[in-house]
Amino acid sequence: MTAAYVANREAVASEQFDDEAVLINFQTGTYYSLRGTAPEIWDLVQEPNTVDRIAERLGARDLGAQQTIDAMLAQLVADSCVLVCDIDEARLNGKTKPAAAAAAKQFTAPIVQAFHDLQELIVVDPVHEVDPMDGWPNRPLPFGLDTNR
Amino acid sequence: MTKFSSAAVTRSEKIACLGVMLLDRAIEIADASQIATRTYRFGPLTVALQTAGREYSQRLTSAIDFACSKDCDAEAFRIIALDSTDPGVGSLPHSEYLRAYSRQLEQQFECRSVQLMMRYDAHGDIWRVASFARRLAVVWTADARRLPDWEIAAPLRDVLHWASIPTPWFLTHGAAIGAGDNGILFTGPGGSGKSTTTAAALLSGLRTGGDDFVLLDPIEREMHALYDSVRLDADGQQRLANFSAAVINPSRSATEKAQFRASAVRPNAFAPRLRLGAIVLPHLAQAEKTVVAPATQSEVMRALAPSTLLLLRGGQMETTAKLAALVRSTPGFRMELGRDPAEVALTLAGMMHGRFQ
Repeated sequence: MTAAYVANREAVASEQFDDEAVLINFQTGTYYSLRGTAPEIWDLVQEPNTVDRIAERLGARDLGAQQTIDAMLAQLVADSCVLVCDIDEARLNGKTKPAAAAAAKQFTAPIVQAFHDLQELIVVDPVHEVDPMDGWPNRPLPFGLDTNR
Repeated sequence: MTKFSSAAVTRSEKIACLGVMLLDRAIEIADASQIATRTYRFGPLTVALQTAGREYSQRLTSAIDFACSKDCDAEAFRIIALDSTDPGVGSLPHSEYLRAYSRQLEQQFECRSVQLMMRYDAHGDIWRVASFARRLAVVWTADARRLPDWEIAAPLRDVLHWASIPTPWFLTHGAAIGAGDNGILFTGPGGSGKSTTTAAALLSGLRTGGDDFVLLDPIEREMHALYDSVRLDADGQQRLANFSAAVINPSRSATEKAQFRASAVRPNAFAPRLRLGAIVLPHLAQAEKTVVAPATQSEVMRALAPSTLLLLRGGQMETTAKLAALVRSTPGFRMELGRDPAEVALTLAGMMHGRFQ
């Protein structure tokens, strides 16, 4: 099993506009502007994905670039926008393979800008669709996700 | 009395069950008391409202009277508004159970499996519950004489939002300002200058469809007024002293905003419907002159979506998608507001007469 990242789609709505993505986290009340390669990284974690494969896809060959991607995802994990999960690497084969164009692509850094000005007002829904077995406040998790990591 | 004894029943299921019982009890009361039904049309959204108690009815509907229609509509979304102080209503059913969850329900409860929305307003002691499947909502207040000022200025807002979730139209946070039939949506967080600019626009001969929330019809590209009310904070009142005679809540508390009806300012000042030409993001700059510049779509989305979604609970994903589609299809502008509200209003008028170029 391999550690992977996946967007917390229960809590976050996102929309893409030209070269910028806007994320709104309904659990925390923070909203975000993603620029540079950040919208593409966000797109690549709509399904569970590893940093290695994301880096490959974005043409991020050196260690520094991969660390930049990892740091962005770690920030979004800390903000509950992204979840960490374990996945079977074999399941990823055939998915999110590097695009042909990616080989020639010049990696640009992801930019994540967080806005906290509405945070105390936007927090919603503590009893929304709770886990049917555990009850509130436990939300049902997608199969295979481990939020304790 | 219903008892919850099974440990297997989750808290979510208990709340959903209480919501359904509240709906059922309200129907019993409305039918037994033969409460009159009044139809209200907000553009494409039609609701059939039954309110128990004359005083509650008056307080709840004064801001939406403009939308009252003589025609009945069998397809209308039904809303039953009950006041526990009314002799025909009585106390809230299962209140001991409901109150056990009141803290959580202040945020919002949404159960997709039974298509139920529920929210508790602690300030006004108001319970709201809606069922999409039954096209029915109930607003149950403990005492209509203690309604908070925003419930009088913008009544039934949650319920109107819930009623619009399964439709193409939606409520959005912003002021609708118009010249003739052309309008702009003026949007931004509280304190960005929406209400003061709306009032100044009225003084300058422009029109408004409300300063806080409007109903957007993205198909017809129209903004429909939900409330004939404009609210001014202390600063706005000072800058726009002309409105002091029109204020309808002169005995308000220090924390309440002054309210007035746009329709009372002058004939044709209130605009129930405006064509949407642009979205404008105000910013209090205190500059000599107002400056307008194009805004990116993501800027508009960041100004429009979070404040709309924090104030309207439930259906966040659907509303986000609708807002994004609106942003993509509508020109957006940043407006650095000058310190003179009249000059700001003139700039807005110029924008609208210039067809948003």
